[in-house]
Amino acid sequence: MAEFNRRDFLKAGAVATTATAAACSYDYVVPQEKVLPYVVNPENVQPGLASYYASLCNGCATACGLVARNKDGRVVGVEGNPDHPSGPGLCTRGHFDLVATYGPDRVAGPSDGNAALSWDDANKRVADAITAATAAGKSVAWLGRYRSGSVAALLDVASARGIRRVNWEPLGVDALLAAARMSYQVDELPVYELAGAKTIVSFGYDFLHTAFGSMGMAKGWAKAKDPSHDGFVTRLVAIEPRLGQSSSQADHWLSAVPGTEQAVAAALARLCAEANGYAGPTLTLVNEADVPKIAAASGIAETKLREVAAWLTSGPSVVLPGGPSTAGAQAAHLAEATFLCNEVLGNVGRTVQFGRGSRPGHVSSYADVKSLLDDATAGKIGVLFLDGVDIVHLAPAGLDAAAALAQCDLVVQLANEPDDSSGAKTLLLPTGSGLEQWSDANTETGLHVLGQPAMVPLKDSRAVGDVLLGLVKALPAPPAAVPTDPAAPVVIDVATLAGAATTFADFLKARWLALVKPAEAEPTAWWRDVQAKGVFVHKVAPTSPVWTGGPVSELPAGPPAGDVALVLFAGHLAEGRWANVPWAQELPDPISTYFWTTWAELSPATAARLGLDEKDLVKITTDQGSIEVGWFGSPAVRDDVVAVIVGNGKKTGKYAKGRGANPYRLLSAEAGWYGSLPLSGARASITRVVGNSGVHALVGSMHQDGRSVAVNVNVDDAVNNLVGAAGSIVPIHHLPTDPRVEAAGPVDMYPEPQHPTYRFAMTIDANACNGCGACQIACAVENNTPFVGPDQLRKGRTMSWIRMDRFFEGKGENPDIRYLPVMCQHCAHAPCEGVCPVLATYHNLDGLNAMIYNRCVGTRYCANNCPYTARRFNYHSWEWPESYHLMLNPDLSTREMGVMEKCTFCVQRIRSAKDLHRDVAFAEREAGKPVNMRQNEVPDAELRKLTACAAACPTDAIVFGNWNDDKSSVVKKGTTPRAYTLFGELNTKSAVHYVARVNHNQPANVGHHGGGHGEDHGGAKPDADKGTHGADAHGAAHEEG
Amino acid sequence: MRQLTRATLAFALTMGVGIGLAAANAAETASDEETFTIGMKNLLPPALFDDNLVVTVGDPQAEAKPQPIAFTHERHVTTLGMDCNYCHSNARKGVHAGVPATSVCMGCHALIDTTDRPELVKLKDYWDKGAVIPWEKVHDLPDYVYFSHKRHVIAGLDCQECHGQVQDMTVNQRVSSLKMGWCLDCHAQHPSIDENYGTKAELRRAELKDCWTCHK
Repeated sequence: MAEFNRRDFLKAGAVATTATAAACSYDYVVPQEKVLPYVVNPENVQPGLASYYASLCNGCATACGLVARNKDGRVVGVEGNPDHPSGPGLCTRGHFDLVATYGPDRVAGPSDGNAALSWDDANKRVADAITAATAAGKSVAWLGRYRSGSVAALLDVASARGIRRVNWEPLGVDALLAAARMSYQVDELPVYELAGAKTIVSFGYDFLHTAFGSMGMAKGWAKAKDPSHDGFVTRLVAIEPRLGQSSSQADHWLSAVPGTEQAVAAALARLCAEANGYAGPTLTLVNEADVPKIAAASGIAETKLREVAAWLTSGPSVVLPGGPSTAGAQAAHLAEATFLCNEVLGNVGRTVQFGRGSRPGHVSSYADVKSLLDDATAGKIGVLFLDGVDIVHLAPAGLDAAAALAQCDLVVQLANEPDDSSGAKTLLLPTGSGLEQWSDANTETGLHVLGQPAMVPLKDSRAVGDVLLGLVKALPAPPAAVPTDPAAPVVIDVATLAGAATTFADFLKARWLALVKPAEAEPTAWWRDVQAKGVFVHKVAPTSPVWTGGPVSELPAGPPAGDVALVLFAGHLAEGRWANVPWAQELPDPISTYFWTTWAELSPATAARLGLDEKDLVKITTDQGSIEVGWFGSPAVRDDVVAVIVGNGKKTGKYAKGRGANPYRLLSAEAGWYGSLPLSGARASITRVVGNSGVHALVGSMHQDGRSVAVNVNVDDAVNNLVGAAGSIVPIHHLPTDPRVEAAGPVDMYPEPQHPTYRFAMTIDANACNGCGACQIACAVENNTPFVGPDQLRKGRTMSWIRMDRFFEGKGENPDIRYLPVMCQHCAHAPCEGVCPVLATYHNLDGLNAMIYNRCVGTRYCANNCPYTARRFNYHSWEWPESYHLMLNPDLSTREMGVMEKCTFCVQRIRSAKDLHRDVAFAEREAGKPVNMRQNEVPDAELRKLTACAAACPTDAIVFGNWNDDKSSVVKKGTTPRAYTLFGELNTKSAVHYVARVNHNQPANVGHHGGGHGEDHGGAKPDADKGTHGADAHGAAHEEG
Repeated sequence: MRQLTRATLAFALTMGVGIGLAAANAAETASDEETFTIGMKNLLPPALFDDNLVVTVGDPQAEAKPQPIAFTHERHVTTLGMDCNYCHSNARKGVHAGVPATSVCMGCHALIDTTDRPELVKLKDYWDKGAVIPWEKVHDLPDYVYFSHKRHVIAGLDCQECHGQVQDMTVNQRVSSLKMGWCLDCHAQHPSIDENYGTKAELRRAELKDCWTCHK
């Protein structure tokens, strides 16, 4: 047996062991399929080729631009619109909106809960109810999420014709807007230009995630963090009781006693005024702050506050307002105090810009919602329109929204699927997805975003605007003048436009032509151009408003009774809007890496005090009610705080129903100052409940235990290029090695692979990554990655091709939380390839670690041998509802049970890009040009954002390209001094290059130590919180391996 | 080569059944999660579950399939002299060659007398009703295969190299096995590679043998 290689072995093995194989001696079997051509071919449609539509993201009120990719009649992917100021990149919510479009719970058409209705019948029922309500002296009311643009214009008209209108979101901007009115008499939010800020102080503002305008701020923040941009690295100081996703990026964490943040901000204003010699008109007001008293009450040392003031006054800075975790009763005053800080620092007009008219449309406060529901309970509301606000889920404990809705004669719910607010009197009118219907937005003066439909509606739905247009026409026109758009450069008569339009699409176009179009532009060509670009921008200059605010330095009257302060925060599900999107439920929370449920975050000290076991639940009780949830021991939560994630606890929805608990039920119905809903600050007590909570951390390690996975670099080293030459951050061995082995240097077991044209590679800038998860969800959508549900996730059977590693490397005031997206590293010397017995995985000429699914027999040797845990095994053929099949990307296979899969660097996109460039080469040759058919490489500009993760990344942290091309971005970024490869000591020669984070607490010159052993690259190594709880106590999370 | 593939497939099948049984047990323990049904049927050959499936592969001279309209390529191409691209215009533009829309047929047939021509009456009926003509697929590649007509047409291949002498067929019929080995025979040595890539033909041949050229 001279040569008995492994394939012969397999042949022999197969023959010897498979008696059944004889019975299956066919080659393969395929179902007889049909070819169904069009009857009439639609214009510009070629089967198998994608069309792209510029549109508007309806995932939140910010209204970013997106580009929808339509393949064979359905949208299978979304990316950010580079023509929009929010630029390329699209956050998680844009992708969730795409998934929600294909949700299995979507109703087929209008329905009243018992029976399906035609739109004509439904409209008649609404009109009759309005007539009856008017006759009975009852109001018609609208309770909806924030709307801008043409829908808001129609709401203006409806409002002028007697509709009671409330636009409210629980994580909204009402407190911030109230503060802007008080401080500057302006009716808009400031735009924070973070890119130029050397110091950023945040009082809990979720500026990288759920805050209004977060995409722009995330981009600015990434620039401010980049040492090569303006030669500095911003310093982020977080002052809040619990570090959330945005503040997890902080260099410093000052946790004030909950409720004192506003006074701390006022104290900072005074200290800044002292430091920079401020002598402006608000000096008297600023000097009202009693710094020693505030320092004592807040628990932050005065010296620390002075240090922060010194940072703030040392260069351009920004003080950001509060977010959910600091949204107590005083939320509006906290925002006002931060405006005062910016006033003192001279930031207004520079990093804090007013005058751009930034606001998500009409904004009502929670107090308006409460008074509306109180009136409904009293039987004063005849017809109530609910537009995207699941008020029964969102209402605090003292506000019985279900009872209020039951007292209305008719509740018209504008939603695609029933939710907790759907009751006996609900008429459900499906308004379709933003990808199916016309929409527009105008969230800044002069910034107009057009949302054109990118596919034919899947269900019998009509746009919200169509319903509103019908409503406006059904209402009697008032004799007084109709309102006009206050932000418009020209005055237009919206009511007349609405009267002339038969559909919302007509109205929208007429409004754009009247309001947005420059006078000199030719309408047809201009409209075509706007549709192609998806956005039209008039430049607006910032203004410098004059401070008119009042005192802001009050301290709370002292901590009331109760155990801890309750803090609510939002994760991927936002306020609960995405609870019925299974991919959103499955996306692990950036901090805890929990999924599919509600949980509480406690400090390890609190957990120890309560004697909590990892499986236990905690019972959280306020004077309003109690919930029982699992817990996570986070070193980023104060000892006197319990933080609970919102979003779950719904009663309706295939994927939302019965998951976790509803923390809104812990809140009091009382509005805070200026009418906002206090999400935080309520006093609560927590007790241990023995049981099995079922929470589980997907990332099984709290720390990197001295290994160089997520590396930090000192700021001065980074800015001054003191890190060393490229490659000097050589990860050190974490295992002791023989000196003789070291002396021999790296030895390769494998021959060097050839990469004659491309060596596809990726550079991930960990310094720009904030763990938002956009890459993960974009990857899942692009690559048909299934969700597996909580039971399977607890077994470690995640199918996400990108894992977001999260490490708590800091302690106390120096948090140092690091994120690192890890996918297949496409090693040149891949440990997985050598162990595959059937050559299902191999290294190809483009440098890709290929994976051939129908060759794979599922031995899992490859996953066991992968040092990065980048491979995913299909333990089952994951099935999903039929409706999601329409979302599947036809460019690649779905995988089934027994098959290994992993990141492919989006090989289908690479294939498509190469294909188009080969076309160009052939066309040139046909035209008689001398063409070298090998010089048709895809240029860097196209490769740079080719993969789904790179295209989605809001901060440009992920860059893709050809490593053979020295001029490519991926090489430029991946060969800087801060670049390193993961587990480089294993000599896997991986294609993914990471760029080390830059941190203000990192000791200098850590990159220079070369090859020591057992040293810690990281900053302070925490021990105190180890072993109490968190993922450490949960043991290994990954089953594979 | 062919035998090897068969043996590997058989091995994969056996492994698959083993894993399938193990997974069926696992599914029982996960039964509290009724939302996520877990199936094993996709792994096994569909013929085991569906009697209506037709075995189509293995015999290059597969039996011609009855079509909803007895369309003849011979008449259109040889007698009337029409170019393949007139109807299959997508072949040089996209991955799918495409069967023409009924409107393309009617471009001519609207002017052609249907008297005593029952097949043309069928066509007109489909058109009048606005109904889709449910053609039976003759050339069907597995769903995990990426095949671009455009690439092959632009590279200079004749339709007949894969589809046979279609211009002589009164009933369309597959003449090639469409199996992987058959594809690779050309990918290894087709003369168009040398013509198109010249001195770099060797590299191109190597690329064309990469699994990820076709497997998706």
